[in-house]
Amino acid sequence: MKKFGVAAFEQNDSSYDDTLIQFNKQSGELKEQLKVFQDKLTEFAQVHNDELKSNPEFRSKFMRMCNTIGIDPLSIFINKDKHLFTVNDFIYELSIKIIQICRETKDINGGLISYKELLTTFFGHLKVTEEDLDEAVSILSVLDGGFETIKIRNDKILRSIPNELTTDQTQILEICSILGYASVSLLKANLSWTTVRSKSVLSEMVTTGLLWIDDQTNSNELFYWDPSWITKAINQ
Amino acid sequence: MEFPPIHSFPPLYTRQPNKLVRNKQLETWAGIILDNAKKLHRWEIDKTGRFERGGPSIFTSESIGRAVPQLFINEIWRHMQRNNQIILRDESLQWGVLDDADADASFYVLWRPLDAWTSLILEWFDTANQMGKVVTFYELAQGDESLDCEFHGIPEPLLLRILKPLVKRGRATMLKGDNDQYVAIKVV
Amino acid sequence: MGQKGSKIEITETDRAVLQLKRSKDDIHRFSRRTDELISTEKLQLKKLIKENPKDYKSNLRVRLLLKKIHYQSHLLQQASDQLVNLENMLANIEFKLVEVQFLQGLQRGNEILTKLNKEFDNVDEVMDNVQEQIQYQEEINNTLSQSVIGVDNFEEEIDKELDDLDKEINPVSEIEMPSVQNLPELPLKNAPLSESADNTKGAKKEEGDGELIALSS
Repeated sequence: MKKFGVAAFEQNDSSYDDTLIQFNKQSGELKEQLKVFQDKLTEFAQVHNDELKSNPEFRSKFMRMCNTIGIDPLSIFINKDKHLFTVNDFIYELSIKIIQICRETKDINGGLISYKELLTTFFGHLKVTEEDLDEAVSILSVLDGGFETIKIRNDKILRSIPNELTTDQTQILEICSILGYASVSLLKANLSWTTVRSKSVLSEMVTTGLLWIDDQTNSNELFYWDPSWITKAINQ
Repeated sequence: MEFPPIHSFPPLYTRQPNKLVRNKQLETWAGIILDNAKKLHRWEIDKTGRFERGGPSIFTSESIGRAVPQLFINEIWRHMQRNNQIILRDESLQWGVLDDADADASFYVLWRPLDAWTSLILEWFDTANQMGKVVTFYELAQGDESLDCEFHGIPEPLLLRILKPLVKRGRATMLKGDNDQYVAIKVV
Repeated sequence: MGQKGSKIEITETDRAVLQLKRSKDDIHRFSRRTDELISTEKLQLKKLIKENPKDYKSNLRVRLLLKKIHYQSHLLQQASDQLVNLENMLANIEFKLVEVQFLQGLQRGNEILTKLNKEFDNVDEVMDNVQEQIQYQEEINNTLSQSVIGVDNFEEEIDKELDDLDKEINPVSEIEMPSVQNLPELPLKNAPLSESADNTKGAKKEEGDGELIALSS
């Protein structure tokens, strides 16, 4: 029946109904499947709890499986007060956030992020301590992402790239921790390196995104800056 | 102007050779420009990065003694243009104008996308009960009625470009003033 | 509203409104500029007074500046008044437009009502029709109820049904009353008491028997 006035707008265009029904059905089915997966994973986790607790390789594979399917491992533990690892929810969540942060900042810092930056810029509003970060890293180191805490002079740095730093690279970063940058002359003066060696390692670090170049120095040479200096400068 | 800590990082002013890093660099500059345009409620910026004539350039930092060279500034403009974050103020110019060192050029900074502005203003016509009435561009941009609105102070040529789609859609028609320019609009 | 392709009309009123608004805009622009000017000049004035703390009252520049400020404020006030004027005119025009729309709306409403009313001229016909339908239905009802059970037995049938129902609801306990058929015969000639007493007794007995008999039937 035709409607008039304002009621005419309530007439539904039924041509989309079929498509809608299809979509709803499909999405319903997908949800079902996901739920089944989730249940299976939870079951698996329960059955193999002990093994998962003791075998880190098994653990990491399990986590990877969860992530591939797109299931948040945390969600498996919603109904349990017992956890796979002998750590609590907080550290778990912290680890996940750290992975995210490292991924987001990789292009700026080449895969090295200082504890200071994590604690002030990203976790400033939460009560996160250095020990919490250490604990989180120990879990993350189980994954193949290459998470490791290294020390540059007195600062703790989190590495999230597969390649470890060479001694040369570490030494350059140590120099950078003083003024924020390194240069060929600084390296020659402080480490007694040759020009060739200095240039070579420095450009290597630029290629891997660990250092940024600065060509507006008052001297004739380039300065190579450590991106972690960005946060350091805040408190100065 | 307000800046994030990275604005005091000297290398930000040097074009980085590493492609991934450079992308981030361009993104960072775009973000700084959009944020400041929004905070200062500015829509125009000139080729050298000044919001005001004779004012400071956003690409210079006195405190660390660094300035982005114009060549790299142009690269930043192109990046923003590709992402529809800026448009040339003078519609008759082409983006090749950037390569001409002597040419003067300025941009409109779209800290909101064009169509978002169109929707916002259309909404105003509805809530301010101005549907079916003639409203001048001056009224919209400078009038007391729009003081609380985000688009208050918007340059009239930009306003014209924002409102044109409404005419195309058949929702509005524009009126000319004595100087044969469009000066007002009626929205239904 | 919302028809694609139809051009939006610009009426004479629209053009008039445009003129008014342009004037209003000009005055607004002027007011703003003057306001800013006055602010700058006031600052200038303060500066001058500071510079000449002793003789500012007699300083020509100072007096001139103050007079200038007064004059501009006066202009600003006039502009403000004119602005209010224009706004009133615009408001009036708007009201007129609304009035016109209102009247148009009423008119259209009336036309529609008249058209609808015409439909109701056939109401009587329709009503009679309805009455006929009702009558017809009643007849059918009656015929149906009559043909099923026969008219004569209807009341009796009803009684019977009611009895049956009653039995269902109030089941009577089937108590076996002792049969009086094989009772020993009562001696008819007994020691006579008073005749009346005998008679009554006898009569009573008979009655009693009769009663007994009636009950066990």
